[in-house]
Amino acid sequence: MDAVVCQRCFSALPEPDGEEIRCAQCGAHARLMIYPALLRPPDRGRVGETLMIDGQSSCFYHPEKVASVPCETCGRFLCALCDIELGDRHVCPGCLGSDESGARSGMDAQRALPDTIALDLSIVPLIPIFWWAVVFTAPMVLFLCVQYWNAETSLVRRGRWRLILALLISGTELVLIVTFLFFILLGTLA
Amino acid sequence: MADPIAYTRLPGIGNRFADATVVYGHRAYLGPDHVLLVRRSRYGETYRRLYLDDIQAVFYAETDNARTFTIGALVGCLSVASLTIVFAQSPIGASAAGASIGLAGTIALLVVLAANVFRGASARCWIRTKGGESLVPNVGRLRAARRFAQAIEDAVSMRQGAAEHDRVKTHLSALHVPLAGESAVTANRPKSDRGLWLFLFVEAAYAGLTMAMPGTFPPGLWILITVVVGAVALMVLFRGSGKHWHSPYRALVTATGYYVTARSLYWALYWFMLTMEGTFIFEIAQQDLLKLGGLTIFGNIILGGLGFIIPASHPKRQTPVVVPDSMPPSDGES
Repeated sequence: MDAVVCQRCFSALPEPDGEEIRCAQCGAHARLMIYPALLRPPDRGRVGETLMIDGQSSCFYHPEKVASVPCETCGRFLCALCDIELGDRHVCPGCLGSDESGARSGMDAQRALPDTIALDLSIVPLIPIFWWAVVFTAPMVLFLCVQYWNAETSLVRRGRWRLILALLISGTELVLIVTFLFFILLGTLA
Repeated sequence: MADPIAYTRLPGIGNRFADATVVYGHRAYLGPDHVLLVRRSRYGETYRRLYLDDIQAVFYAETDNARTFTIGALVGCLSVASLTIVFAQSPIGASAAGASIGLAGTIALLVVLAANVFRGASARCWIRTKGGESLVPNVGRLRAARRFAQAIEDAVSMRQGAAEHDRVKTHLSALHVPLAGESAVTANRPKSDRGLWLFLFVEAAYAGLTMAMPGTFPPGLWILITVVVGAVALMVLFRGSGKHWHSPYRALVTATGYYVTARSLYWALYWFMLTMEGTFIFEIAQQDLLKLGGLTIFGNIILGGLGFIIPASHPKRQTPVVVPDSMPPSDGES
């Protein structure tokens, strides 16, 4: 069986050497880079060391296990089993679960983009047949801007320009509609 | 609030359909200790993290998607161009509106074609970790794949040390293990392909003969040839589908692609020939058979494009790098 397969003709590729290779059958380019992690044996789970001496610090969650490190958020002693390493930090499962440590910040699997929602809502009344929607969209845009002004939205997209633009568009729309209604009212009264 | 993680964008931009309705934009970013794969819809983002310490292999390979797309776009362009000429030059049925729409369509297709050619060969890229292989969906071109792989290599090498190809070579025999189930890997190019190319050749030859000697070859014979050759091509294809193709679905859509492309080419040439003779297609379309054929052209143009695009975009289920979960320890390693 072949280790690497050409994705154009599905024939076996030459032995990879870290550089770009070409398929002998169809000439397609390919490259395989292998790193030391491939040769590393699978990680083994750690278990806490059993407490043998009276008076030795024990794990908060497992009193029969020896404490090896304190939680950097709540200060509780933790055994090797309860110690969760997040980069250079050590936290306990409780703090990680409640996110009191802030350790999970930036670890989300998904995030909503309220700034884009606000921007799209502000644009809707610009479509001529939906001008009346400004009555609903402008308050919603205002709410989104206030609610999410300091909130973390995208992990990779920085800046508040969408919120600012949404505020400007919605504000202009509101001013225009109020002016329009004012003049209509003025005309009716006259 | 914790400080936000600083990310650097990695090469490659990919927009892919999901569920045939929503377009997701895919991007990849490099963080301090991980690669972040981002799938972005209009109002939300989904993240996947591949930690640099866990990356075992990075693999990219050229695919035939771009080439297939070029052929599809070229066929579409020729078909629409012939339609434009029909509308522009027909002595009895010239239509300025039709010609304008046809010209706009031709230009649009030419722009798409040029953009595709300019972006170069297509490719796919995978990152292998302990958890399995992850397709990097933002990488769709060979140029982007090269730059992406280089950026990853620099980052991973800093965390893990240099790649160890020499050391891996000593264990290469251990890498040669099949995945669960029957592997789709073959040593040669799928033979079923040849049957379809033969089909295309026969179609083109018959179209040429019909144009060279009009009236000699009756439509009945053409239909017979189409049915027989098409059936043989499909049989050849399905015979090899279990061994050479990943699924009967892929085999079917590929066959459809070849078939309708051949048919579209034929009709495009036929239209062009009629126009050059000074006959407008809809005049002849009074006859039932040609009327049917005329209506089929539009469907063929659309289906011809789809027939090429669907097989090209259909994900290949094959795992490119076949490695065991654990490697035998090297000398001196406990």
